[in-house]
Amino acid sequence: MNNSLIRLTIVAGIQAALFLGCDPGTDPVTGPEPNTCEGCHTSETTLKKYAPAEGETGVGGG
Amino acid sequence: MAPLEPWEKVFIELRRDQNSFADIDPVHALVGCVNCHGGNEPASFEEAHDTTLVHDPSADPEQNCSPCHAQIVATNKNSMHTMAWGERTTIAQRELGAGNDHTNFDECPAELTDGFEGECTSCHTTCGQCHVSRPNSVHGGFIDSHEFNRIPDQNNNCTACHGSRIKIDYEAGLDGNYPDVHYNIGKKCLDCHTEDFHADASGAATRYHLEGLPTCDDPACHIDDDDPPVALEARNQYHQQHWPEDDGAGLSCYVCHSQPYYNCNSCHTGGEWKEGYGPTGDDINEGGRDYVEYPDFKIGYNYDQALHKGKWIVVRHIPVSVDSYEPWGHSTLLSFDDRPTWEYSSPHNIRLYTAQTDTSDGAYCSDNCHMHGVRYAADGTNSNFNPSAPVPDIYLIPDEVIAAETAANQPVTVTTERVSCSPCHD
Repeated sequence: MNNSLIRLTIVAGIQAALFLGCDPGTDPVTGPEPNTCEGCHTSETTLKKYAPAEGETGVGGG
Repeated sequence: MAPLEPWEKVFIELRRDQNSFADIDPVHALVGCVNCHGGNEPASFEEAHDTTLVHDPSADPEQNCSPCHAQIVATNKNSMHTMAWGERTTIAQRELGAGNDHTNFDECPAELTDGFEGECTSCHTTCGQCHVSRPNSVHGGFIDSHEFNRIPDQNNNCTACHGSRIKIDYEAGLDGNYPDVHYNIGKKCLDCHTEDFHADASGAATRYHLEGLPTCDDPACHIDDDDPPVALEARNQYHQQHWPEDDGAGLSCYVCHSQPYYNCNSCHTGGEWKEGYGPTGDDINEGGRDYVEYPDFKIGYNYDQALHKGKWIVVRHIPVSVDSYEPWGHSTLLSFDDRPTWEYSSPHNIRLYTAQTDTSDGAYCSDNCHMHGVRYAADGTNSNFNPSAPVPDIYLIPDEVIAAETAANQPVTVTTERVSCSPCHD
């Protein structure tokens, strides 16, 4: 095994460890059905698409 | 407090190992979104957010919270936070007369009661605005991904509403102030405020009438290392001389141990709060409906010695003027003179050493307060009398009161009669 291949293996290993060790983000790979309340409200991407249309009406106390 | 972005307000953030809201709040997830919020699912955006959608289900707690929290809902509907009894009392007294309180509020003209219900009660408050989201006054938004928090968040809930008069005081938001000593040792609101916030408070005319409020001489606090312990009121000569008593003697603790705080000259009855607080005027002596906020520290006469201990208290100009409710269609409060506009205050910026108690470099703290610079010795003799010394500017004297509010503040202003400095002013 030459040096380049060793380096590539090490870098790939570190990246894989970082990927697995970090928060995968706000859009889970597995999650609620996309056309349900949770499906949209757990998706940052979807909310950014629709929330501006809601504007200041979404100010309720929950 | 800057409002959240619209999408942030309704964002349920699933973190690692979380696949649904059930992983955040498994108990409330059992209820299901539409059972509280209405709307439809699964559905398109429009169908999901149809006319049945309810943003704040806890605005109807009997329907949505009672099934599990019946006892709390039953009492909370008459709690101080829900009903703002104190505000009802102040309006009733300024309209109907001093002998009235919150129980007479409904006797006020309809424009006052309707305006109150439409504006004041809109942020006094719902279950969700303390336990799920930021309150309406800061435009809402989930705090912890819609998790129901048993303990409200201090920054996102408590001081989101109690900001200019608590947060700024507590955290030294005013130039020249130091943080409250309780803040410095990490005390949260609910560490001291152990009163039952959900209790039926319909018998309390104001928040100061609530049972279980924090007190400075709580035996659980301010204990010392002496054996046997020395009571706080006897621990030093200052306390021995000035301890506030039920019979109207002494000083409120705040007189010595609090710092300047914000005062307001009028209210937000024009709906200003909906767009964020901001001054609409700049003349603190004008006394009209313009909203003006300014720092000051004033000592006044204890006008309600049945409620508050001591002869002298700290007073704050509270946000009212004779025409505060003109935007509601009520141009003048008929009994405006029946309640002071400088009211008892309990600033949350407590320090052992303040401008009043500063004795550094051998200074006498009495020089900051006593008339004519008089210094009293333990045996009652006095010295340093200076007949031409001006009245210390920390006193609320009649000349400093807004002209239109002179009569209203007659019970609280500092006069020679009330100082009763014998033998000259008997």
